[in-house]
Amino acid sequence: MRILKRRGLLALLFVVLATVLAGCMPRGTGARAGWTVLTANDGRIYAVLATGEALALDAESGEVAWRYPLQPPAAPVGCGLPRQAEPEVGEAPLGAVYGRVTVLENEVLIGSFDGNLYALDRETGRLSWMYPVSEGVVGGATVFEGVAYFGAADHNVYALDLETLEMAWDAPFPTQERIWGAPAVNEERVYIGSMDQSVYALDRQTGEQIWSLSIGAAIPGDVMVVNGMVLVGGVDSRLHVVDADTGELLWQTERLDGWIWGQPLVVDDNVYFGSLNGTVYGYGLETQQRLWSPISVLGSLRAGPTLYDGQAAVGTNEGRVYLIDLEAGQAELLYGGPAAEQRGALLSAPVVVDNLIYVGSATGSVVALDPTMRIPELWVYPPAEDN
Amino acid sequence: MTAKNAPQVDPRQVRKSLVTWVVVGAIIILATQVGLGTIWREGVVRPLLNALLFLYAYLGQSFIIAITVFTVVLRLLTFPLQIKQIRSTRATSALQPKIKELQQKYANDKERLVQEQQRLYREAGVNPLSGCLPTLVQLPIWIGLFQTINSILADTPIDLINLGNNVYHGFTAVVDVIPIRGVFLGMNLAEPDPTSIVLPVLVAGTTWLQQKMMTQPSTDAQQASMNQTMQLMMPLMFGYFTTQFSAGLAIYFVISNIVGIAMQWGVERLDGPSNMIVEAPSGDSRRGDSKRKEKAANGPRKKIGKA
Repeated sequence: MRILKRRGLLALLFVVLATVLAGCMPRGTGARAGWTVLTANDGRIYAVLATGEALALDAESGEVAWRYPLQPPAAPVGCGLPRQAEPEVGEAPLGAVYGRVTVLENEVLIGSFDGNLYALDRETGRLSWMYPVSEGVVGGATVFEGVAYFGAADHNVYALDLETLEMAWDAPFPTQERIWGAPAVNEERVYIGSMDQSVYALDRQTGEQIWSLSIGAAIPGDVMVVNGMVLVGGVDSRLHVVDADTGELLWQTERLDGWIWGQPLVVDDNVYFGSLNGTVYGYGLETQQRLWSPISVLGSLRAGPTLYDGQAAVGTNEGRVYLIDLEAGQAELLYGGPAAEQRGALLSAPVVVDNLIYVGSATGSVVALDPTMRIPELWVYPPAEDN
Repeated sequence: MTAKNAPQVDPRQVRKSLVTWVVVGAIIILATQVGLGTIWREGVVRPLLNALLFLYAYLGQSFIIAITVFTVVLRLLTFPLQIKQIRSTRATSALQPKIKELQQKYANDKERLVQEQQRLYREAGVNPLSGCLPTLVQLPIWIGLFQTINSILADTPIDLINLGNNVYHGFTAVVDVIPIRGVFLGMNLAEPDPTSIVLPVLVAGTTWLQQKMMTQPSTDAQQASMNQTMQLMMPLMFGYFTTQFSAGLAIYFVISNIVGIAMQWGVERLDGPSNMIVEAPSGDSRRGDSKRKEKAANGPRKKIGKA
């Protein structure tokens, strides 16, 4: 009897251990966490937290204008086991979101790793519609003249007419690999990078390929078009500059110290970007020369710099925010310390509104920073008592 | 205290203890200076990740081939420890009758019982805890592999960031192979087995077989009961893990188990069934020491008769 009891106890211990351990590990798409992404528009910060919760916050006070879903997601039991049954569509969080939030006149577009492009009502946060594709929408959508252009992990580039919610092209444009970056769009063309190592220029009206160029390395991030040039970062640790008209490689940087993922910042014919190894670079787009010695910061730079008052603001995966003097090529720590580290990695680009800088952390916080203050932290969402 | 009562000091044990404490001290100093996270990343995750990537890049860019070769190489590297574990388990099992005798003999004197058991193990050249060592060595590899496989297959941007942060800068061939093709028989290796049956059953089955082969019969009812529980629960636990973890890790478990089974089978073929006779310790622990040491020197492989 004693032996049986002992065996039963041991068995129970194993089951509990297995459940807890397994619950702590991610499983499947549903359990995947994104990172917090932000967009500023009209005095509001539109954010999607790492939990898949979307918010509109007053940029000045941090007060919540609306949230989606209305009820915050239930805290999981233990590590990853859901407390309740799966909520209905329209009540569930958006899943993992990595790409930028696109703010339109009446709607907010959000691409999710759950394979949907969501549109939330800009005033109320209610779900207006969702457009499903077969795999995750990582990079977010770029809207031009009423059409949302976006790539998906199913290798395709989509053009969705926002009036009819039907494809604007005859068929999606297929690439050979996943697309994780957002496209750049102008009057005539759609430019997009794929993990198949190529950058594509497509006819905006028909979706037909105009040119493609293999840069010899997977392209995980957004492409950027400026002054007739397409700027593309790759896992070969180079920034590639391509002629937007012909698709010819104009020049590329030497192999730098880490992957180039985030969208670059272009100011006055100069380009500034960061690497996953935590280095900020500045190059002359025409001169193809370095502006200053590379600047090292603490932590990876996944997202590109954002212009702030003649400086560049960058967030690192150590939770720090630096201001880069674009003239002198020097970095100054704006925000860091134990509280910032605890809030987690800053993996999306900072946004700037009225001389304030907003960052979103991997743990689901939005922080407003005033660089003119000695203690720059203006407000934090969620407020301390909600943490 | 007279010389007769003074505790005997085994110089080998002293050396071992010293080495252990030096290693523990070094780890503590390193941890305080550079941080446990850095030690883990530089000591486990990055070497594993780059080794696996290297195999992928140069072995036909097949993740299955890479993980298979990786597993076999890891098993070969830990081969001496594995052999030691297998032989230690067999030797410990062979000592069970003697242990039982001692338990009966010293039922009312726990302190003496412990002393005599330790002496018995020492004379037979067996360390009952040494069987845990290969498992302990493999534990960080399992955890590191869990992180590594997810990063390499990079199903999400966060995984790809981890990959980018952990690839050695000089490893330029990696540029050509990213993104890794992690599909095998239509199954995304970064995701759990979509059937929730095939891989969990394979993992549970091979774990059970390996466990069964490794578990030696015990005369102690409590030990036997414990063995039976472990034999059942371990496969169930690993099978359940497989429903939660990436299929790539499950495949590592299956291959690792198969190699382990082959090694166990090989050792049994080489050594024969375990059945070692060790002279039972008498009341005076020093009497007949030389004779016992002679037997112990032959180690657990000395066998007399079949089971």
